[in-house]
Amino acid sequence: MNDVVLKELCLADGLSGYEKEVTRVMKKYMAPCVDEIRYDNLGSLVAYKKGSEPLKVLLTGHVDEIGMVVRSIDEKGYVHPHQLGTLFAHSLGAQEVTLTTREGKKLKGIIGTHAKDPQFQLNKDTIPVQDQIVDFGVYSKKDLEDLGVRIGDPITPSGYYQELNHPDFVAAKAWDDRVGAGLVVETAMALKDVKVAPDVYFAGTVQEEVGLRGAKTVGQMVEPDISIALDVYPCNDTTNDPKGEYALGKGCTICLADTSSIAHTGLVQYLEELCEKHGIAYQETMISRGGTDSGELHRVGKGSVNVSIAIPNRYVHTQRSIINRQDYQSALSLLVEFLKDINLEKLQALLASKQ
Amino acid sequence: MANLEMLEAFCQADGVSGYEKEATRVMKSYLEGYCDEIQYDYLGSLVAHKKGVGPKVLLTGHIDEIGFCVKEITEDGYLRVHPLGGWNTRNMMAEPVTITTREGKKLPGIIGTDPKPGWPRDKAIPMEDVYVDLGVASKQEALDLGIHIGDPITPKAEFMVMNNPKYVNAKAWDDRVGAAIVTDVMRNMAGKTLACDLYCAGTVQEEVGCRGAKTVGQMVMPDLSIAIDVGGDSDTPNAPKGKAVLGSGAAICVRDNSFIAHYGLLWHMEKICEEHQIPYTTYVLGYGGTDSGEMSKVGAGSINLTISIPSRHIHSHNSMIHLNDYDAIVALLSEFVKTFDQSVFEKLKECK
Repeated sequence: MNDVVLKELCLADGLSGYEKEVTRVMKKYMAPCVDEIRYDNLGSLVAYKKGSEPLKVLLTGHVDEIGMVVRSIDEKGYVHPHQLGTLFAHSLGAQEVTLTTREGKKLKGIIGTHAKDPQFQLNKDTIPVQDQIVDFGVYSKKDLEDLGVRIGDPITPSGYYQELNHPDFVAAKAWDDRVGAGLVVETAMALKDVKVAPDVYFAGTVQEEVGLRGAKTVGQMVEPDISIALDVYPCNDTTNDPKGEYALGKGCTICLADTSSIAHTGLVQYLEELCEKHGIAYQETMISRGGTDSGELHRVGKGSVNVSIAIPNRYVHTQRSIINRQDYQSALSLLVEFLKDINLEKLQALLASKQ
Repeated sequence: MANLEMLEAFCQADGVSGYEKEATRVMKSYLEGYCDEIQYDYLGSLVAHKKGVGPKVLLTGHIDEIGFCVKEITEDGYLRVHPLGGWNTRNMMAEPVTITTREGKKLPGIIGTDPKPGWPRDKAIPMEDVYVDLGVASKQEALDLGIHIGDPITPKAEFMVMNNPKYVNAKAWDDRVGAAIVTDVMRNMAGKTLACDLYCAGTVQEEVGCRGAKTVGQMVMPDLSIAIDVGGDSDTPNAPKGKAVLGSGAAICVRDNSFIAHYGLLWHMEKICEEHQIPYTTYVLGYGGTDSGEMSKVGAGSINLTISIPSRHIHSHNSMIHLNDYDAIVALLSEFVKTFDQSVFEKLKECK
């Protein structure tokens, strides 16, 4: 796990619909490793590495993160935001955020903690997301307008990247889904001087959090035979979780099903066999709430052989979530071994496994 | 005429959403020799193609049935389940299921009935409290059977011809009946030269979001598409009385939540029924969705509607249809395909 690359990815601001900062980081590290860099018309980045056989593999990590846009500014200078993606109300108060103006200026703000509802009970209730306001520490609306703030400006959680007390645990802003973007980049870097059979498309897809939109357009642009979405999955391994079987540190995750897609059974078994063969730690899970880019990728064109590989993530969709770098390493090893191993004959076998 | 042996083979195959191979293999066995080529999309949908010069017609029945997959094997060797498709848990209590392992082994299980302590007795238990009893003494016994997270769990039921032999009970009429109907239509075209390019498909993963309909639609890019699925009005003592009941023939669907019928095609279908004395009703489904939801809007769209077969007790282990309705839909679609050509297609397009 390359902390230089990942830190740069996590610290970049890339709200759904405003992802350029993040794709620029991906481009910087991938350009020397691939044959061509393209974009779809929404701003998703697709790096292309030519292979020796006629099959197409698409790897995606979504570059957008959840956050808010400026809906209005009131006379006192508070910003009323509108969320993009699903924010959790109980984790917003007093958080620091960064607004990016059209000129690229970065302004820091604090999400307020005063409730609008007069019945609000401290320590019992949560302020609903639509009632939140952001305090930029100014005297009036004019102050903000003079700073260049406009309706529609993106507001993201302020950047954070911190290795914790055991070096395996790293907390950061936007692990969802900079971890996926990082895996895409590092796989391209690992294969820089390696010839593989498939044409590989390394993509940073936009607008996943608002409906898997970049996955759809990139999928339609590439028309892959095999697609793998790389994302986080919420784990349940803290002391406060009743179940606890899906945990940090047990390996990368082969996602069998979620609300957006069912994994291709042949591809699941093939990846698991690769893990066994190369001693790569993995776990399997399914979730009944949430989806990934696979939701679109598996049903583009005539469909694609698809699975999501996830990194377990604690405190998903909050400002500071935690992953375990061993899980990241496992995923990276698996992706590299997969791309070195897959070929046209194996693709035919995967297709035949459903026929 | 409906072939009971074929219908039983279709219904009894295990094929929950995402795990449909057993079922597509049955469908394939009845199509081989009756079409020019058999293709698959990348999700495993089966598409039989009879080449013809003319507009492209796609008829679909979805090959997947609702079921579950193994979410967890508990410490005592029970299974927790992840639903595939829409289930009301009250329809699951004490019902038998089949777990299919990766090696293809078939294992019996029973969905247990105990709610968590304190749960009101008359309230359906939540899906996360559902468990499958494998009849084993420990978790290790369950693991030794070869059961794995993700393994498909299929309802198990008897294929029963009822007291009036026109009424037949089975699991998975939804939508093996549609898959069988499109198979019979293709078989009826043997030896005929058509003025249209005919595709009959068993689409996968309808119950989890019409996913196979989308990929097959995108693969074929039809000019006209028809989904055949269960529906109609229930005529049980507790149901509000409608006209599209068992025995009333083909139920031509005006709309469901996923599509609105192309009215030109709808009137054309009614006309065929009138001319050939095929029993039918025209009805409105107030809820639900079918493959038409995807096929109608693929590419530049297709002229589309859904034809339903009246049914009872779908989305449970035991559902019922009437064989006259089956025959009516096969007759209607066969007549439609035989007479569909470029000029009929142009007239339908002009309606809009």
